[in-house]
Amino acid sequence: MAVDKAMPILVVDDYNTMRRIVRNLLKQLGFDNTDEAADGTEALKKLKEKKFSLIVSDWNMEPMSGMDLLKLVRADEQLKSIPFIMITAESKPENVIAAKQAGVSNYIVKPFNAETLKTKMTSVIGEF
Amino acid sequence: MTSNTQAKLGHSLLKSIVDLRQQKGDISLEDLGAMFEEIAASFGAPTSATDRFMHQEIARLAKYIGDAKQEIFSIATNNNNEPAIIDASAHLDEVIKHTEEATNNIMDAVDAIQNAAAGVGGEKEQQIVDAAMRIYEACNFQDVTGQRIRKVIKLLDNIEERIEKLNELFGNEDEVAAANSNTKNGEISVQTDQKDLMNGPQLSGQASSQADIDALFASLGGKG
Repeated sequence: MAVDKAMPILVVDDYNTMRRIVRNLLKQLGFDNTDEAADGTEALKKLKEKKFSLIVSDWNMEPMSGMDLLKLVRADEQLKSIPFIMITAESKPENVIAAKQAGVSNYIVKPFNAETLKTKMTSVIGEF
Repeated sequence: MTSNTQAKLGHSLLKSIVDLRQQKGDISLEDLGAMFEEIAASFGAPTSATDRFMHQEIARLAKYIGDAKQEIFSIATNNNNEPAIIDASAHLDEVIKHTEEATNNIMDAVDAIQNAAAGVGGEKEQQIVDAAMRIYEACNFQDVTGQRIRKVIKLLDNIEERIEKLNELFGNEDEVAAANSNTKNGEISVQTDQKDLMNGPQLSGQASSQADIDALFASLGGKG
């Protein structure tokens, strides 16, 4: 099934600059229907209010981290099947293992480029 | 320090490290600091010239860290309306804020170039779009830089806290007060991070690459 590039994507990061970078790179890849949140708490609120087809989230955020958000999303009946990509500077193996065990769909380390974002998105939502 | 004291110290250190490793596996800077405090507390007041010298050196180290911080924080900006910043966290936030502003200015300029280039058509337009994307990718630096700075500040704060505690244990209050009489005016907040997994970006030679991450992820059953 062809990927719908109008799919709504939620970008979560506590740095405004990084949210802008990710949204811009998504736009370059053809995905223009994006929204953003500054941390896990705000993201969860938006996820409850509106349907999203993909979550792209940082890990280190306050008051709710990306890991906590991931766990809550996977524990929620309505949200649990939404693909979740972590984009983070945390690159230790134990981080990757913890995220995978929590149900992350894919994992990107910062700094990253558009090519990597495209590859990881393709593995999660299909070719586009 | 007498040879008996040295032997006692060495034995205590070794035992504590072995116990800690058996307990926790990996030993962090905080663990080592707590261990040294415990050992230091088991010794009495300095009795020899060497012990007194050691206490003085620790007091000087505390002053050195305080002076270094003061020097860093006193670096002026062009904005004369900014209040003097003496708190580590506030100073860090200023650095992050300035780099964020600069990064947003860069991205605004890139957007303007892309808009101006729209309609040029052909290979030229594609070259401009590709270059714009590379600039956006390069702007990742702002986030990673901020996290590295936070990590360094946290390490310095932890070291300073341990030095201060050692000074208290050694009863160095007078020496410390004398050494630091013109150093700091505000409290340096120390954030204790309880989340062991939140370590921020690694050093270039030690960080896992995307290829390493992909291999590990695939081995855990993830898709590339």
